[in-house]
Amino acid sequence: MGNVYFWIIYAVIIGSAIIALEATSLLWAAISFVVLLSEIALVYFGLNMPVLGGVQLAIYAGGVTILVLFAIMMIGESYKKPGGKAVKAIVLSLLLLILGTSFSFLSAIDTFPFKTFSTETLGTVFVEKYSFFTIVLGFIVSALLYMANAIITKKREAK
Amino acid sequence: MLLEADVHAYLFLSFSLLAVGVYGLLSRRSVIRMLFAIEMIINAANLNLAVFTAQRNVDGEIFAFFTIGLAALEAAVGLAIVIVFYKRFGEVIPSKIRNLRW
Repeated sequence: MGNVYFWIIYAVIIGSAIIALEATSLLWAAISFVVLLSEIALVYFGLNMPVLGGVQLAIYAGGVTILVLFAIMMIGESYKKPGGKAVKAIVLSLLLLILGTSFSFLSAIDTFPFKTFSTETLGTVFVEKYSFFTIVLGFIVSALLYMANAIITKKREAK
Repeated sequence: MLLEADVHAYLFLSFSLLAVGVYGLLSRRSVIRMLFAIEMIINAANLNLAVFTAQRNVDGEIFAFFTIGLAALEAAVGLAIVIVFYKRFGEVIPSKIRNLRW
């Protein structure tokens, strides 16, 4: 299945994910969230994908976390106990885990040896196959940023 | 390679992260924690893309880049909505976010 380093990283990822949801202080939850994202970047580095790992660290562990920290500083948070849905949510998530893992073992997912792709290959495929998609994505990004700005800056109209 | 694991182990990691994210999304009443849960689910999908990239071809890694960018934007828009809601109502309770017209 996996060596000891993989399972250590597994435990850290799942543990920090649970702490991010369950910690009473939102600051500790955010710190735990950073640990989770950094460990996922470590998995990408372990899969010989340094560019993806770097992007994960820069955008997720850097940008998104800073956004979340700013939001926490602006609005603060009082801890609210989970409602009565917690048991149902645990049951559903365990069901998802069991079903997904069973299907992954039962399906025809073969265990090819992992390959290593160079950054040149990545760049070539990106430019040759996905350049148009990147332009479309640029428009989507611009629209979303405009939307976020409009939401923040729009004044309330007088009734 | 430091991490010696087969595809089933990575898929187990991905499904575990998905399960924790679904649990958080369904059970939390704090919007920021719900955002954390959504990011966990997106990261589980990215892990799948990365693992199948390592097995087959490089396209999945490129899709993971796109997903990361869009997830960051989604967090930006989500937090903008949260801040506006807080400015208007003084608290952010997801069950009360029904009317954002202003």
